[in-house]
Amino acid sequence: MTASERDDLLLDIRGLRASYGAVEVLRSIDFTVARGEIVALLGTNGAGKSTILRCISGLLRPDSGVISFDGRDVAGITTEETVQLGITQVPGGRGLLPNLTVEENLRMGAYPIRKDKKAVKAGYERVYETFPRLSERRRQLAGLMSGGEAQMLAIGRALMLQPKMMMIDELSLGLAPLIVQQLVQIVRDINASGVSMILVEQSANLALSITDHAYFIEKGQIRFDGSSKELLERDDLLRSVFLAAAH
Amino acid sequence: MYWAELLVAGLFVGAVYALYGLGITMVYKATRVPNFAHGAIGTVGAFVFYKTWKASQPRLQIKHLHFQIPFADSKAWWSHWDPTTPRLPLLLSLVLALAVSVVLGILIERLFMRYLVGAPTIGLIVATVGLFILITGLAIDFFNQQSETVPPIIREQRYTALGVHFFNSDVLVAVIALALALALGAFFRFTSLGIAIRATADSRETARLLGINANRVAQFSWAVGSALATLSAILIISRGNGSLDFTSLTLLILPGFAAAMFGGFISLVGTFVGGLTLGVAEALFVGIRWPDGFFREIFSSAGVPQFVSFMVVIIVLMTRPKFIFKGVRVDEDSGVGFGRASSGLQPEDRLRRALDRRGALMLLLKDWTTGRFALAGMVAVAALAVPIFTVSYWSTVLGAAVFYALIALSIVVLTGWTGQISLAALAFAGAGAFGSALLSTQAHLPPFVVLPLCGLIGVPLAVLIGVPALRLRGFFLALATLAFMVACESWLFTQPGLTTRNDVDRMFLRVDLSQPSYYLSLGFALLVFLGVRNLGKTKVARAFHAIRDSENTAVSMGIDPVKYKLLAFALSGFIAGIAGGSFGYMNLKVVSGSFTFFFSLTFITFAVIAGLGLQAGAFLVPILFVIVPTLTARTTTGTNQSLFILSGYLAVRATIDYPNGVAAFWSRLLRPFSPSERVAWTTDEAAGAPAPEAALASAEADEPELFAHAAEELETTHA
Amino acid sequence: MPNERRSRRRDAPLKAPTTDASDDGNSSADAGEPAPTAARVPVEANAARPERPYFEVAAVSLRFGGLQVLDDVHFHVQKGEIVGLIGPNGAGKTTLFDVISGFHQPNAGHIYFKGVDLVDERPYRRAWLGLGRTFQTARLFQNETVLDAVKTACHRRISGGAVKGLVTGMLGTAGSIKAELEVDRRARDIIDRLGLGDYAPKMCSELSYGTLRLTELATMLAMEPELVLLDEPSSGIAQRETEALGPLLLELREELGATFLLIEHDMPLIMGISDRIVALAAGHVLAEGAPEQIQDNAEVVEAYLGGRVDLEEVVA
Repeated sequence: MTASERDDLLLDIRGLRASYGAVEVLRSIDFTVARGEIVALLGTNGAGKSTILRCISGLLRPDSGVISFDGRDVAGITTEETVQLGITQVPGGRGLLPNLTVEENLRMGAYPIRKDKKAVKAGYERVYETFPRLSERRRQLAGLMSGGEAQMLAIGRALMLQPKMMMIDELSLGLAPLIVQQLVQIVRDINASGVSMILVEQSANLALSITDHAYFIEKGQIRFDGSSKELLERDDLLRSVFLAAAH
Repeated sequence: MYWAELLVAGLFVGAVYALYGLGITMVYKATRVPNFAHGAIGTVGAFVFYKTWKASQPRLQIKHLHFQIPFADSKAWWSHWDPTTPRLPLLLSLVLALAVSVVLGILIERLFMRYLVGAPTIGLIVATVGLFILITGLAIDFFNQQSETVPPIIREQRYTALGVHFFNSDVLVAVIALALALALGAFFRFTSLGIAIRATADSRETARLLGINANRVAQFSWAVGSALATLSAILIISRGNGSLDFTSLTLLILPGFAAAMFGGFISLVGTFVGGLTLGVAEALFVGIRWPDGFFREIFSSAGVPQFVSFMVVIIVLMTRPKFIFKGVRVDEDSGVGFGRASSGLQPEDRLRRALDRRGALMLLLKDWTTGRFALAGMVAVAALAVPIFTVSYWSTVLGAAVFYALIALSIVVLTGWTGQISLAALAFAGAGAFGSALLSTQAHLPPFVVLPLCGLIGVPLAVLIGVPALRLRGFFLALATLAFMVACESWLFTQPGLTTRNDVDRMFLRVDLSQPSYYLSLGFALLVFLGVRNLGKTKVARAFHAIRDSENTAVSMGIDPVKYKLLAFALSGFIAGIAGGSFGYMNLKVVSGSFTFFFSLTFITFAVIAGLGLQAGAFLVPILFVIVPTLTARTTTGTNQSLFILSGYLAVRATIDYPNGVAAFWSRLLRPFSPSERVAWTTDEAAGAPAPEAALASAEADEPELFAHAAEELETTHA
Repeated sequence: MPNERRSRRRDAPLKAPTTDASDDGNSSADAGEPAPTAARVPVEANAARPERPYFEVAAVSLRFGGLQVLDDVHFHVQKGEIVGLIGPNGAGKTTLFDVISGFHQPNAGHIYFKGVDLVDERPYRRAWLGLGRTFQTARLFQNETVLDAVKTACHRRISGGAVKGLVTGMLGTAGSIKAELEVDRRARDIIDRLGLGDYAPKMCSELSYGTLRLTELATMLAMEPELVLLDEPSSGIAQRETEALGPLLLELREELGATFLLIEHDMPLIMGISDRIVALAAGHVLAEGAPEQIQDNAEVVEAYLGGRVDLEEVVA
């Protein structure tokens, strides 16, 4: 996609600043997601990628800046409201609820629509169809699952609501290549069904090969952004971020 | 048949423990708050029930309520209201009682606990103990302190099956406990809300990301926990001798927590089984017929069940069997911290700003350097002169002040400095007090020899509980020390060997006057305070602090945590032991009733209000909690519970806004002025209210030469 | 320059571990430490280097439940070197530091430092043997002032055990006061030299991240360790400060005469100051060598950037 095609914005962030106590983590971030797009958010550890997600989902109140989603200013609203607006998240690291079973995890994914039994049932069916493996393990504790299964569950849980935008914090971290390939396919399918996505990734090549647009963030600032396809050809640029040499 | 009877009796007692423990598990599971106020909430509900139930009303001595506004003039017509209570059928007053407790639970969450999410464990303990004091104080004013006798809710009948006797009320309690455990278990398993509560407990953040309102979940848990408290209180009072008062349920704190511990503070069925296990263990142990000799002697006193629960708690916490502790959250850090829940300018900052506007701050700070000596001098003169010129009453009061100061100091050293949450300060003090009786009357040692020896008696006792403490942190350590305190109060201090030799011989200090004993205690207290003050500047104190703030960092600096933790316990035991000795000389008779676990719990809240981390806090405890109440006792208007209500409220507020207490407020108010403060003051006014640290930090960030400058400096001064 | 130093080290015959430990003689209490027997050294390591290096991680493995966090990790550090430890998230770098400092007990393997197997030593003893470390989230002591934090780091400098310290401290003996004055002077000196003078009376919880990091380095100076483990010294601090961190670390090394092992995500920093780099991925050593070599190592690049996904294959 070219810049002009990215006009129909679903998410539009301008001048976002945020800090944890005394530490300023985001220093004026501009970041957009167009409708139907997958956007990669790349950068080294501690660059501030997850913090951007926290600001969008309402876990962290930004110091200043505008976050508008679907034409509505959402900066500083509660997490409940963001979920109701159709933003779901696949949290990074220990984002599962380990002492809940697989099915209970999914059920919590549908918590905001729990009264609508039909929609919940449809959600289960959708998820189990996408991930047959979860269906086999519905009574198992989430904490006892392998890394790949856990990631499937996290994505499945975010699918329970039929979101407008899904944010995935670390898709491939610690997973075997084969599983990553499966997940990538699923992510693309979900996107094809009309869900916009933000993908936070360590693995730049992976992220660039499945996304439309990418942002590189470093020390709380966007260093550059551009079409993923073009960036993929710029090996030198990637290296400068991840393996920058002193010489 | 003897053992079968015991077993059945144990099961029924255990059912009571289980019933009590269910509510504790309910709240802890959802919010990680160890609810020490559980019994108080339940008692309030029970009062509502029995005061309005028509079958119990004829027996009540006081049939009206007594609403009164604390600290308001009690004679003013508008400050109190004494309605008579309605006469309701059983079901209606039960509903009323449950409704009141649900409202109480919601209020507790909304007004206080919401602001303590993520607070250190010590804050949670002190907050709920503060709530206990607050609720009890308010409730006594409402319902009157008088203990009432109420009828059982079902007609008692005795049955015999297989040669074992039991009452229908016992069966009722057991059945309701089991039913509740199963029903709650099902609730947590099958309903969306129940699963959401578990989800929030698993990871608050993930739960929020899924659109679960964590605050509402906590509110619901408090509401249900409070309703459970009321239900269990009504049943327990009915099953017991029908005595309706504010203390009897307090005694169930330890067994209730122990039962919950068996469920890992997670499983309700585990809590139920745990309660039964504990009840049976106690009954069987009590039933053992010891052969004549040592064991018979020590296990014939009244508190053997408490001894058993102590042993059970220690064994379970130390071995942490997998089947209980699977998935249980164990505190990783000490649980003692002084971080504030609220950010922005603190009250003392605002006060400083206000003073500065009027040009008074600089004057105050300048005068304070001399003022502090003047103040110290006045305190010293008062402490020395008042007993001479007044009646003996005042030296008793000041003697109590010395006792409070030393106990608080022992808590400051162990908990405030070293981060070991101990609720057993009065156990060490009690040992010292009984020691003073034995040493003065039996060994005929003079007072100035006895007092230091009392300290030495506290040492081994403290080290004894310090050894399990090496493996325990935070809440579990608090639980272990609570069990120890209860065992000391009920079992150790009621040993016939002690209770028959509990007179203190003042010897050459005059028997009929308390002044000489007071001066002796004061002298030793001064020495101890000076010693601790000296210690505060040494590597030992720094090692203590390091262990409190980050044990891993301390270890990486070469500090041996085992040695220093035990040392802190020993020092704390020594100080409390001396306190106990001085108590003995002031009161002449030592009884276990002076060293109750509840008093010990209260002391922790005193220490936190005054300033847990600072020695000055220990100095302030007697002023705030002995001198001021005594001075105001006669002049205070309002209810007789006003001071309790105030101190309970302060304890909860302190944990939210002022985790390091009055002493920190004082020292931060009078700290030297730094120009960056004015920056923080003005940014606060300009941009809503960002944290002052952030304002200061951004001022620092304009100093990018920090590292470069350091490197340069190192290079030029390189040796 | 680093190259030159490295090769010199490698050629020079190393002292036997036992002599090394005794004539270093900083940590009084360890005179009696028995030298580890040769039998406990993995055979191949023994064959390759008859002399044991200054610091060696030998075949360390660690499992958490079903997860192999460290898998036969093996590398060494020569005296005076700066060795950088890199690897993507979850590679096990911090876990390895935790094993070295004793917060995790490895399931297998040894860690030799000056000939002593650290695995047998209690964690706090390792500081007395000359090990110092900082932590990834620089928390230090939240409720302590900067001055007190630095003084705490001087713990090893005041002789006498805990009980003696308690008694002399409470009595305020001349010796105790003198020792404390000495520590106070020393701590203030270090603080001044790092330009932290204004912050000395401030609580650590009130500091900005950069200042906190600098305070941490001050505690390192105060501890005088021989081997310093730094866990992401640049994390949380601004870019411009990071650039100044490299020279500062080199200065610090000069001052302490110590050996450094550091984890770092900031590539310019770690590549700029390290003599050698050890790259970890998924709990095992992926590559080891000079910074330039590592940057060109295909496996390391892949570990960081991830394999490309063949889209055609996926879609098919």
